[in-house]
Amino acid sequence: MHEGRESASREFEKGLQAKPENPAQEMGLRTYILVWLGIIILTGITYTLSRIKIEGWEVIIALVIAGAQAALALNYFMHLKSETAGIFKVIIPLVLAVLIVFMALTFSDVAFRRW
Amino acid sequence: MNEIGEAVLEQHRDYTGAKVGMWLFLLSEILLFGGLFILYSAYRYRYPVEFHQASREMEVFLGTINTLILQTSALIMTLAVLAIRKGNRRLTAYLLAGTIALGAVFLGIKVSEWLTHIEQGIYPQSPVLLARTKGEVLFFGLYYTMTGLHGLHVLIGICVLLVMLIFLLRGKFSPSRFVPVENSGLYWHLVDIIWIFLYPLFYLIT
Repeated sequence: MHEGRESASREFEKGLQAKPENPAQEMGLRTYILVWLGIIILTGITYTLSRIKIEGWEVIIALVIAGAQAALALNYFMHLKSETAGIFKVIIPLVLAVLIVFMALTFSDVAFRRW
Repeated sequence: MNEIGEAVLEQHRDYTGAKVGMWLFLLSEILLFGGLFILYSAYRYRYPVEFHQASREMEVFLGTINTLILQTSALIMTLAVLAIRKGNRRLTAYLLAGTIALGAVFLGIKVSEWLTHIEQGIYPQSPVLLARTKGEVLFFGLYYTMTGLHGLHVLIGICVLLVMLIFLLRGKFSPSRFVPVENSGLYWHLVDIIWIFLYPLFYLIT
């Protein structure tokens, strides 16, 4: 009877120690290094472009490149690309939408002021 | 005592739930910094020339080095999470220590930049600064506020990682229990992403 209880709890322990569903398992060292290189190269591009005068577009270009770097970090370093849980697909776009609305509302005021 | 009952109480974990919790916090941080970025954009829209003028005081070289340092620390942090997932505790410890070290270097450079500016008399409410144009005053106000708040987040991140390192050395993490390390990594990556936007907006205004 004592043995029966031991083996039952051992089985249970084994079940508990089963690895949790891990989206991050799909990415390995090679992926991370490539993403890092991509981010570094994009930094280099941002810097180089800032030394060239491109009238008017500099901010937008810089922000687009920064956005690309952020997307790389979010998807690969923060494992969003392989995330299975659906809730992330809701909350992150939701917050970005909130920010965009704030920006749009702010600029619909600021852009029309006579300071 | 019921061994199985105890095992259940000790081992109930929710991996996805833990990550969702951290993500919700990160999203609130995004809104926090987002508000400051919107403030920056409103004033830059208003004073484009003065912002350009003021940004010439920035040491682009140091800013760029700091950017590369932080981005590399993000890689090291990701590898630390990979290492503990594979059960390599020693490597995880080295990689966590590496992330902390790079974060500390980042802060050191940032502080030295601030000190340079302060020595030149440029700091909030200084007579030197107030003698300049309104746009420049606003630029430096935003500079100190946003890089200061970001630096505070880096400092907090370093403290969190130190705690993770201590827990790791005490044997609390394993391939089946590492979500605190992963969550710390998520926080660290957010700090990196925020800097990715701060860098061009303060250092690369042409």
